[in-house]
Amino acid sequence: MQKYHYYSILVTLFILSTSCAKVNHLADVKNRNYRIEKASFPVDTKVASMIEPYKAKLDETMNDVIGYNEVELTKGKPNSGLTNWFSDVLLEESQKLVTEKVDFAIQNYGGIRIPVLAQGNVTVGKIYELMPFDNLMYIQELRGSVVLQLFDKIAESGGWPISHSVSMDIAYGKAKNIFINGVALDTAKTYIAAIPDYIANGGDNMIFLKGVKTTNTNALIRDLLINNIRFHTSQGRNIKSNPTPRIKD
Amino acid sequence: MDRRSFLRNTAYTSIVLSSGTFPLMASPFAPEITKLTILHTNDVHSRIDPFPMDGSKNEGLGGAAKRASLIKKIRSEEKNVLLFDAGDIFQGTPYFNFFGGELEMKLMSEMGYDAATIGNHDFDLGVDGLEKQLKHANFPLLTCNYDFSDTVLNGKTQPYKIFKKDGIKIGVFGVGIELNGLVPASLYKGTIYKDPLVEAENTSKFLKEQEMCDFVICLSHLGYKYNENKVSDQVLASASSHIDLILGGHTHTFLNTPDRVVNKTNKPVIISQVGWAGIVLGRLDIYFERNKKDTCVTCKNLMVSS
Repeated sequence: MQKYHYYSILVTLFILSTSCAKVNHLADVKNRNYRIEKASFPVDTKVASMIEPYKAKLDETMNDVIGYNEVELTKGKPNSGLTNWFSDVLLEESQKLVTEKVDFAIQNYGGIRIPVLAQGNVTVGKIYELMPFDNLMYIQELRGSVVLQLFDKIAESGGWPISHSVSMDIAYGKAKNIFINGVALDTAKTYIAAIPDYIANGGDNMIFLKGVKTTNTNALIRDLLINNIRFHTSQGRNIKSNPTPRIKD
Repeated sequence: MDRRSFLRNTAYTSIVLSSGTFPLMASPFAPEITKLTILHTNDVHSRIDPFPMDGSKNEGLGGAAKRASLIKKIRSEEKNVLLFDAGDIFQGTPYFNFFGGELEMKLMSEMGYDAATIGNHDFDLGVDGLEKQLKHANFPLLTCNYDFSDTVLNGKTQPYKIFKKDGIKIGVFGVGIELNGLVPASLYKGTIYKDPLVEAENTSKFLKEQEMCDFVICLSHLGYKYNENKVSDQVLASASSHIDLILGGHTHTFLNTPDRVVNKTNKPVIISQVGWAGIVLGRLDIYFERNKKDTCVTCKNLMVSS
């Protein structure tokens, strides 16, 4: 009897202890965000000292002079010193990446991020300012009819950087009198074009470029520019823009 | 209901805060309160130095060295601190172009990040590029919906990690965005993207029910919300049943106060995201009351009325 009583106390204790088991209730949440402004928080010296050698190396590379620009090149539509030079470099460098003949190169106007390339020394850092995006160069096979669509869009926006291998007129917002390498555009022919991935993927309303036969060269547009300047410098040549007009309005 | 009401300070929690000691008041009936401080960033995008003073909108903002001192200060004031990043650690300044993410990982390790998830830009030098930088990180990369079995990252990430702070068990896991169409296939090659809703539900259920976590945090690089029908943090929150907090990224959304969304079982899920570039460090103080299962004196109504 006493034994039974002993067990019942144990059972009661057990029931009590489990019913009293505690849990962690989510009681409240408070929020505070910190905006890190110029004079807001001190610099952590350990982190600053870790950054220092990387920054020094970066600055050294960014300040590396890779070429000399003969005359100030400004950005403008439908042609300009800066856009002509930029697109001609893309054509020249893309041709080094593929075996087939590249008919022309384009660059979206908004992708050129500085209004002026000043006369004088050009550093790697300046090319990063000119082209901060990691856009890649694509090679696309375009039917002449698609080329016409592309040039119409370019005409509509007042002209884009386009290599010297193209000449065309803008008439009432449309591309007219199109010549590629001196021959009138044939809408049934296939052309090879060097086009940055952003555009080739349908950016800037060039949706019709999506889905055409495309090769990724895996080369950054910025690297093409840097390589080109370095190459010409090594050959004793300065940065020089070809004034041949490509687009007439 | 007012979106901010759950954050509203009441007289009671003011006492809790100002007293600084837990359990507060020497009464035998006073509940035991534990405070957990969660700090977070997302889409820092290799922004190691503050934005340059060039007249642009963000000039002078951010910077890892200042963020580090702020984190140190908070750690000196709070007992239970966890620090997370919701992905896109890489890409955006020449530091990444030149050093491949090495410095980003070293600085995050120095700052004491507890875990991070993987953003689409963290694939910008390929799975190989990401793998190469893991040796500089002393914190795990968490992802439950990227299957890296056929890549060099196999076994080098983990779906979740459990943290214990002052008797509180916190389960943290990661989810990533669909890579197809966003990242060149040549960079993520071999990675299998699995449905984030399914994987998040399974992982969070496991953390809550098997591992008995008190609090489950999802580090997400899905994006805050979209107009089109696309999985986002809001979609994930409402489809979930075991996530308490989503620390998000990808859409570079500056949420001044966290959002909250009611989940499948009518419980609130908090969503936070702090823009990009390390301009803002997010902070959430989570208060837990240790009490009987059906009793909670300090519990605020975290419910959302629909």
